[in-house]
Amino acid sequence: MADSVPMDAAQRGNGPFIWRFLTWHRVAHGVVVLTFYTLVLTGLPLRFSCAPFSAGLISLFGGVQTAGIIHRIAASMMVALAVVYVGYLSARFWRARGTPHAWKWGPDTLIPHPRDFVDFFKQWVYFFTGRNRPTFGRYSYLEKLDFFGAVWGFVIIIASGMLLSFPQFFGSFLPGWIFNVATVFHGEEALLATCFLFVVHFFNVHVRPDKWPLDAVMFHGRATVDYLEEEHPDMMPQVRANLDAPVSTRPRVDHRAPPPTRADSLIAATFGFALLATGFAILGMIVWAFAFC
Amino acid sequence: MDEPTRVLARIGLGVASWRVLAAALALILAGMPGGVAAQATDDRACLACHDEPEFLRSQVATVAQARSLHVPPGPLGTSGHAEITCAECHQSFERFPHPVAAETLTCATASCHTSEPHPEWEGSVHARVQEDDGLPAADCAECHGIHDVAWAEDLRIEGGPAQRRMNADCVSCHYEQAYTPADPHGDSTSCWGCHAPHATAEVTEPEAWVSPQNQLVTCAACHQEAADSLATDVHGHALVDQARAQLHAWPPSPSDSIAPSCSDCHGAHPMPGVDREDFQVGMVERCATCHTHDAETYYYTYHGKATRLGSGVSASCAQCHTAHSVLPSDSIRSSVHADALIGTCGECHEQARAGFVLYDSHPDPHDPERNAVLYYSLIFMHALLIGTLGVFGLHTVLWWIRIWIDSRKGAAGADAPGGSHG
Repeated sequence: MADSVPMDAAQRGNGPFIWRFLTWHRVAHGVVVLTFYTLVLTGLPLRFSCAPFSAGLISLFGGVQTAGIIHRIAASMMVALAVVYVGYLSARFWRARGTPHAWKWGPDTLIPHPRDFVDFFKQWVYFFTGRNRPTFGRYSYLEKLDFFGAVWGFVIIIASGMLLSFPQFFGSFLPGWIFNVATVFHGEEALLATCFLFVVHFFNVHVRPDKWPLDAVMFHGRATVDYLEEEHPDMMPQVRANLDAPVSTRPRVDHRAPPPTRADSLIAATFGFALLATGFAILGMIVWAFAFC
Repeated sequence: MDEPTRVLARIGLGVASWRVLAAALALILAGMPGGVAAQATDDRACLACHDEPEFLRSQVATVAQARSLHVPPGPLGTSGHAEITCAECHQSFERFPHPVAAETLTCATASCHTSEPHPEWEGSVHARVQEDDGLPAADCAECHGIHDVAWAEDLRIEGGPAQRRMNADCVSCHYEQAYTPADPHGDSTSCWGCHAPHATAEVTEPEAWVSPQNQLVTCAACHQEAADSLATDVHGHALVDQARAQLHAWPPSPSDSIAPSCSDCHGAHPMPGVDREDFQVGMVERCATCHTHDAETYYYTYHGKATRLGSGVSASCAQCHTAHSVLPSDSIRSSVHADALIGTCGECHEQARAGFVLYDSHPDPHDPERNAVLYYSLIFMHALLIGTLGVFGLHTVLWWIRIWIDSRKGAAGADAPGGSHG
């Protein structure tokens, strides 16, 4: 393993490993991933009820009724995560009130920044000229898009999903046509989210030729200094200042980390490839469905 | 077979041969002047041979021939013909060996059944098939049998053994129309209950009991309530109007049939039970053969999508529109009239109120007149979908190409892969 190039892009290159994501981030991502896949697989047959695979796929989940229950359980977990996440962010904002914190405004922030629009523009210039590739801080505009795209998706999907789950309650004070509208918003937003994740996110993060075939940084939480210099150079001065700190086995952002163990790598690769394969299969089903619907 | 018997058999004198001799003796005695009267030549003499399958087999070429000559006395004794002797029909068979040109009287020629169903049968499809298709005509005996002919009273017992046996006779030719026991008509209905006992006609013939316009009468014999209800709904009206139009049109053209008859929705062979989920689910497709646009818009709703995936719980056509009282929504008696909707939707959605029933069960997101909000919602979502995937799809493709170009340059030694930032 040591001599060959690791499959995991986050383990390539030289330099010590650095903690990039906390356990909490990874768990949150994991919950989103697992609930999202469940929701897509149980919801896709309804969105494309005319597709030839739909009846078979829904029967894998025990038929329409049972699949509906599974869909609602996964949705409840997703809503629970959203609630916890809003609480977590509120706490962070509250604690950082009045201080010009770097994570609010600077190379470390996840909050959209005028610079992101400049980076986006520069990236297109780079595509055409091959020069002046923009550099990124802790989160590039693509990662911010992933995050806020998910926030938008959560709002639309949860709101419309709630309406459709409790029609009798909402129907007691809202006009019935709201369910027609909710059906359209729920289905189309789900389609947008699915296509975005399995086309754009998968490419940007995993199957881009310089990362191919997998970037497991979100699974085991760490990456090499070389990887970070490549992907997130603007956060590195701060990281380098920390490099002399002792290795921290408990994830602490920007601290030196022990290299992922063989088990860590194996679990990350197993999950990663299973999710990639399922994602591309779902994408294939969507294309297939469009040929029929 | 022991050795002496085998020897006897080789010389043509088996055990059975003794029976031949005995029967011949009986026949000779019967034919003797002043001997036993002809009537007294009771069936025992005939059965001496004709109840011996093994013997019959030895006399003819095939098993089928032997079987056709075999007359087991059991069914004969309980049949409608129990009281008549063999010779009454099989005249000139008294002599043995039977004369080659001897004829058997048929039901009609025997002057027993001349006044009965014969004229009806003569006009039926069963009398005609002989000429049209070269198939054997289904005459009296094909259905009624001869030696095991059932009493008419027995045949009228719904689901009785006589009916079952005659159904089996029908199925022996019409095997594709056989019912399974699970079919609601499978165990208690006779074929002729729907297809007429003797005036059997093809479904396409207007006079057939099962022709579309006659179904309202034929099926009503048992399903009176459904037929009464149907007679006042749109499908029933269409059916009656169509029948009336055909009555005045000559020649009649049942192929123009568009009004749904009982069997258009329920099927005929097979006819799934209405309580079966697959019947409810499949019903939508059957309604859709005429109501295409309504089916299309129905599939935009959860009701439609879930039903198409096999949910028997989600509302399908008949749950809202009823089965036999289908009326347009502007009819005051309609289940989907504005005033009836709360009750109709309320059958599943207990808390349905005035606002709730503003739900459109047949929304058309492409029709801004009918569903304006839906129309613009879909445009917005499609713009978002196409815009996002278009911009970032292109972003993805261009990035791919750029990395590919850079790596070729890198391979040429110009630059390390991906090391051009800064």
